[in-house]
Amino acid sequence: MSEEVKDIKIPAELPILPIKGQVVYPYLIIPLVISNERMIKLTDETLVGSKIVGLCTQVRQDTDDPTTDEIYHFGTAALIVKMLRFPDGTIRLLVQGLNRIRVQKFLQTEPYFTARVEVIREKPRKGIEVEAIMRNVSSLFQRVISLAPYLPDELQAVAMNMDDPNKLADLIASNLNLGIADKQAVLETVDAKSRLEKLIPHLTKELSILELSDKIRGQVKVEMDRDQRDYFLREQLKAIQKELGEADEHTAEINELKGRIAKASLSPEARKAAGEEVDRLARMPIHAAEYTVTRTYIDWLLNLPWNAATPDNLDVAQARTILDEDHYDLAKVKDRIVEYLAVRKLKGDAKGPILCFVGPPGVGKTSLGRSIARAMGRKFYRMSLGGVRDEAEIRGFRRTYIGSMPGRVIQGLKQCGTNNPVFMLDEVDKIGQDFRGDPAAALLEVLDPEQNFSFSDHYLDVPFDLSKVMFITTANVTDTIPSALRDRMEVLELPGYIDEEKLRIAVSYLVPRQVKENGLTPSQIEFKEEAITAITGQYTRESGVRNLEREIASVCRKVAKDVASGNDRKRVVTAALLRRYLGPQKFFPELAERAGEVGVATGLAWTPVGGEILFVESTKMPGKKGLQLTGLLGEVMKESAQAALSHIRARARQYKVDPKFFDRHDIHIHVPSGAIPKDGPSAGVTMVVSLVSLLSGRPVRPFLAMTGEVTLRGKVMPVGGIKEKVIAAHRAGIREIILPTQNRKDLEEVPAHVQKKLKFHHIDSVDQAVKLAFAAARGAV
Amino acid sequence: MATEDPRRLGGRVRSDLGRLFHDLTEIVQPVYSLDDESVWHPYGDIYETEADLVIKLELAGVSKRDLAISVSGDQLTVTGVRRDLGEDDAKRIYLKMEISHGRFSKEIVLPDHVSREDIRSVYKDGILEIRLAKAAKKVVEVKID
Ligand SMILES: Nc1ncnc2c1ncn2[C@@H]1O[C@H](COP(=O)(O)OP(=O)(O)OP(=O)(O)O)[C@@H](O)[C@H]1O
Ligand SMILES: [Mg+2]
Repeated sequence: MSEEVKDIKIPAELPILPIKGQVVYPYLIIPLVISNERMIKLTDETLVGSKIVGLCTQVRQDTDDPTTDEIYHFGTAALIVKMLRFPDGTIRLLVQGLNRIRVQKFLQTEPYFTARVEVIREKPRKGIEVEAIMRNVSSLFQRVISLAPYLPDELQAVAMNMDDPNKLADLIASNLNLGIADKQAVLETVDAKSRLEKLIPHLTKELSILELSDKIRGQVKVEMDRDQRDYFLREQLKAIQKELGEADEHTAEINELKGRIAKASLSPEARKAAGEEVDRLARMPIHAAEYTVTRTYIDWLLNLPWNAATPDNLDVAQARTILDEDHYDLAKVKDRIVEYLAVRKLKGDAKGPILCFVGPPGVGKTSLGRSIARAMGRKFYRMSLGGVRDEAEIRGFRRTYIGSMPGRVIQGLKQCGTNNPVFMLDEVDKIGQDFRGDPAAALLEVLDPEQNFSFSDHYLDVPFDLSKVMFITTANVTDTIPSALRDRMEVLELPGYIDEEKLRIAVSYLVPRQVKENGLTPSQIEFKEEAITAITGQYTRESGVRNLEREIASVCRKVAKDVASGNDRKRVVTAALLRRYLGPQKFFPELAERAGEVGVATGLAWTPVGGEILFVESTKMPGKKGLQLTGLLGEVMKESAQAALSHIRARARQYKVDPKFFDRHDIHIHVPSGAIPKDGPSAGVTMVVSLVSLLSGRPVRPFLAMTGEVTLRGKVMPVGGIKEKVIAAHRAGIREIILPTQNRKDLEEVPAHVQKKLKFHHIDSVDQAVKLAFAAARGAV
Repeated sequence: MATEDPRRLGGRVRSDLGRLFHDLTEIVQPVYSLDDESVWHPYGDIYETEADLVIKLELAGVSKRDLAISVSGDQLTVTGVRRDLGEDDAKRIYLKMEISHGRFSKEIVLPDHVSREDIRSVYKDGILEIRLAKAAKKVVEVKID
């Protein structure tokens, strides 16, 4: 091994970095923030060389640009260990002190200081004298550590084992609250023995301050003992009062609680627990901290709906009417609810199914839950599980923790005041899990009809019957729902709406609702259907109708403002007027824009919030055999691009591609938008078509989208998410779709009216895709 | 089992920069280093197989000739240096410098049952692998009269 390894060489000439408010000793690792232009230059230049700087503390702390006279000429050489540049241009450094240095002569002052320095080698001086003073200082420091709240106890062991007097002194100095001048004096004391001696007065002073504050704390304790005496006197007073038949406040409260327990409708376990707690309360002094805790607990027991329930509306026809009043279509889900009511009516007590509504945002999952509650005549409660990681959020904290409370299920029931609400658990697919226990397991106890009749909340500590609650869960996707939960739920899908459906929803539901909510009447505002279609096409891009509703609301608000300022004529909102209300169009039909470009093919993607169309763009440039992939593609997607290219090279002639193209060109494939990560094999077909288009100079037929995985041999394999992809394609204005033959069965899930509008081509090999893509295309061949 | 030097743990006294500050933005207060020789400490895996005690250290960027392994008593020490990775670019301005460079050392306390002599090491792909053979346990029979 080379010598260098053993010894970092400190150059004789060092850049000098003035530092403020601190003194750095050898072996001290310290963060520094640098914002001064000149010091940034110093850092940049030092990092290219030795990475060692001289740190000299400023004499004056109130300047950012000290002269050489305003810094100490004795400092520490330090190695820059890490460095990070912040967006605002400042630099953050991590430096480690190496050796004491003395500035001999400043060599330059612009753009930053450099100096010739003397590196001071510290001698590991030992001897009885040093040993003795080390012990003395060390034991003082031990006592300081044990009293000082700002020093970690681990320091004790470290100081005890430190056998280098130099390092011991520096360690202590760097951990004591010393002024800059004192810290600097310790730094400048090179001799170990004198350095240690310098510390003794500081340690003694610190110790006496700490001991004093310890004593003050002791006095507080004496005060407390007096409180205790008062307490005993008061207890005696109570005893006397009792003898005399005079009930005090405390007794009155206890009697009142007993009365409430007798009257309340509780479960037998709850009644027993409440009785016991009141007895405990009676024996407790009012001032005890535990008194309030117990009191709160009794209140919880008394205020829970152990037996309170709303009567169910079992009029099936009326329920159906209410469901229809609130939501357009969603027939499958509504049928299921009506069916459930019918069973209840016949059997009296049907165990509720746990329904799970799955679909993209804004398709009405939450609002449907609310509507179900209204149809059944039950209360509604909604709780979001998104990001819930702690079991205690569901099941509560044990009462031993100060400020503990029941979990959110019990809290919700208290708020409802009934034990049979419709209880919606939103976002089951986003429930978390970590070291604080598994919330999914707790949730299972809540939902499972086999166990939830005696649900135990940690706080309540007595079972609560959840079996009358109708639980409904919602999710955007099913695959992240913990499987134990998924298995017990009945999944009902709400796949999203096509434009015609959105129009109907808007006309019959959203517009009337928003008109009313903004204090308008139909005589003041009217939305033309073309305006709604224009909103869905140009101002929103979504599977649900949330943004559509938001835009309608924003038009209504503007009209309402106008009306309020005295202008009372009726507004007719047309497509042409939207610009005025909503500003410029937010979305453009991308398809039209991109049709006819060479090298661009339209693919279909699946995302948790619904399907989407995506473009694959290829370009070539002079080069040699390079393939560049951009657009935040995942590994699988990159591999499928490589496979696509290899396939085309193997079949160049068949695809009318110059077989030598690859010797003269680099290929670049990009999948916008560049900032959204994408992965998966399903863009394989699209990549092949995009490349063939590029290399043969033929544009792809317009209004055609495709999906499918491609093998190296050109076979086309099935892919997932067909339903969402097809709906998205339709929404985007696609007219023909190329799909793997093996996905044919998935089309059954696509709504019939969407299917009718599209032409499907089923393929087994990628040749077929290429043929279809360029079939009737005009342009250069 | 083999353990790391317990002095490595502690409050404001640390010697392992890499472990303490994953990111520069997290450093808040000065820390006193206990180590004279090193600026950084590599991460390591230690495991036992039937025959060996295996130590693997993550040393990407360290050249083989800058590495040394020594055993003294119960302690195995690996020391070395990671030279400036940017050296080839004479003119450069750092935006970020996170990779520790300079001297490093890693001390590992060896359990009794591994050999101090039968040590093999391989350095490949930035990982240093050290294998110490386990000494066969001697069974001493005690006669009973
Ligand atoms: N079929 C429909 N008929 C009438 N209104 C609807 C319909 N679908 C959705 N809406 C309305 O759209 C809005 C958004 O619905 P909601 O908040 O229930 O979405 P969600 O599915 O719960 O979304 P998320 O997954 O983001 O929670 C609500 O105002 C709802 O009334
Ligand atoms: Mg919702």
